Amino acid sequence: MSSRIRSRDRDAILQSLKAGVVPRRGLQHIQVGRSEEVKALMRDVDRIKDGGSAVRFIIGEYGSGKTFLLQLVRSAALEKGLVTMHADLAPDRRLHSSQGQARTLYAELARNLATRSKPEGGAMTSVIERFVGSARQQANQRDVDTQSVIDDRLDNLTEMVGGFAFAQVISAYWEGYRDGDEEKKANAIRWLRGEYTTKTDARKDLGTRQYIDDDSVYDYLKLFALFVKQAGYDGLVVAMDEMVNLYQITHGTARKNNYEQVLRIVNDCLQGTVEHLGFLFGGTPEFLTDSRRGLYSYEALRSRLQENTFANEEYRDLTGPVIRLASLSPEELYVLLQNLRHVHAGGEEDNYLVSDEALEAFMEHCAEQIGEQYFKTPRQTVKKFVQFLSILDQNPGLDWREVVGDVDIEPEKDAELEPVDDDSRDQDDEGGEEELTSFEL
Amino acid sequence: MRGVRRRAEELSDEQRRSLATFLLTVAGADGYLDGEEISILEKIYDILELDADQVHQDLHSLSAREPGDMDDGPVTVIEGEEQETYRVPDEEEPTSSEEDPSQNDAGGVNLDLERVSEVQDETQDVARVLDDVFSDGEDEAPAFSVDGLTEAHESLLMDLQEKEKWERTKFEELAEDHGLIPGFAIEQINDSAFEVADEPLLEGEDPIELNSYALDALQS
Repeated sequence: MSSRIRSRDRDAILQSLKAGVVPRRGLQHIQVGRSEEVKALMRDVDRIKDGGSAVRFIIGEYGSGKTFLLQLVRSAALEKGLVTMHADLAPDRRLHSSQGQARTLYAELARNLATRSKPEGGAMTSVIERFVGSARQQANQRDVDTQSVIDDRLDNLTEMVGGFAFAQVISAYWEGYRDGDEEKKANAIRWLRGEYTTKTDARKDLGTRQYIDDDSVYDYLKLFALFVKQAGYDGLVVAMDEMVNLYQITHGTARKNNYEQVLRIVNDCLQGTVEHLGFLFGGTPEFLTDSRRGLYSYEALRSRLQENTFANEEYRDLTGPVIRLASLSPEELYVLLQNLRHVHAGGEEDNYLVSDEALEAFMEHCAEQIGEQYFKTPRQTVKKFVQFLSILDQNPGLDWREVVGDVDIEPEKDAELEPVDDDSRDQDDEGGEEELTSFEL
Repeated sequence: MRGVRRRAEELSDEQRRSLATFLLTVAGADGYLDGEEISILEKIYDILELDADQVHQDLHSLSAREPGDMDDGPVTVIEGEEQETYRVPDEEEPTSSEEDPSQNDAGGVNLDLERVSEVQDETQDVARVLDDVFSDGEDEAPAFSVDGLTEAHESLLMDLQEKEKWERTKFEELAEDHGLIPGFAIEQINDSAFEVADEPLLEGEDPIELNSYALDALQS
């Protein structure tokens, strides 16, 4: 708790929490408990860094901190020299589709490509320039042609599906750089971001007939993992949140196709047939175990994901791919508030704005306002607490007792996780065109 | 099955809940719940007129570890629902919570201080793990970066110090003038900054800002 808290981190944490979203940085200062889970995930990151692979399903109820944990792992991976991609799944962003939803997911992942220098995403150009720049540097040292160094480094990619086109596009970026051709550079970046949608355009601009389409998303993620290694990073972590969107696909076949992609990923990562690559999936309990529409509905996945049911300290199994998060308890919320007070004070105990007594009174007030479940969905509570601290900060001399009663807290509603089609549960597979059946008034 | 459903209708809500939880623990007694067991449980929940989706939430709360649960004491297989589980269902009890001071806190906050200190211990533990990750010098240099910065980088840095903020295009021109590829230069400079200051020197997309803390550290 005593490490320096950067003012930039402090401000980012407080600002995000005030807006009710998970901060993008400084998460290590507010993590409460879950040390075994975090250690297991840190070991995963190390394994990826050492050339291995990893896959984890972070399962928890709304408000249990799935997104927080995904972000924490992501920022730890960046800190350890890996690059990350992240995206939320959505009706128009899936792992498999024939109507562009998978490519859209890839495009979102690529847009959010992050490095330690650019933890918030948008790092595609930096990554490519690091590759090209280091190749040129090496070429100068060895007094050879830059293109030949690039070819050497991309050699092992070309054996893989899509690798030849990928290498061509990287070379095109270098040519654009060498010749001062900004448009060519921009086209290469657009291609890598999954923004090309026709062979004709790809061929005209970059001389390859391939582009990143629905069917090749996972292949290109694997290529990316190898590529970033060649650019001097230690691997790639891909984080996908809101996996419940796959569970919510009404069309049985479409859902199964998506789960097949999940299975491919799980198999590759568990069998170690991919290198320097890891996947994190965030989802709710029913996404995992529902026998009609969850991952468990797909036998091959169920057998790989089945866990030891009754976890306890002695037998808890964190070697399996599933990590379950319990909802917060009042005691954990209390420690979370202590951490927030610590962050707000810039890590200086002398600057604490309120005593422990005030924290308890604040929780008491929350319980009165939104009932005994107040601690299970802490987003509101945390948001209001940060605002509470700001008020005290801006009004020195004001007693917290005068303010605490004025804090208005509304109960949270888990709107986005409501199934979209509760009634169609039984006629799922006969539903026909999913887009039509899910369109109900 | 019709008979079962009819008899289930006669049960009170509480009885249904505890029956469901009991069956869940029986099904999981061998340590695993397979798909078939789960789909049977979903049916049973339906017969009991409980939300079938509740199976997954109940299973989740049984499976997820309570953080802070680090002691070697007896394992909580299932949380008892105090007072409710053992109550005779039909007995009318006077609702006198307002007269009973111990009941006043029912919706309030009763922190278990022992748990608080367990959670604090675990939080300290995780903070140590994360501190190792987020504030150390253990990072090995990336495979293809040079040892430290070249003369070209240093002269670029000298020029950059003129201003705290640089427009992207101006920065790119400047980097090119020094014979550096802009994106690569930023990464290399920031790598060095992370090594000495644990923070990047060049931040932001456009404009690019100089972090004075990292600059001081790089200069010394």
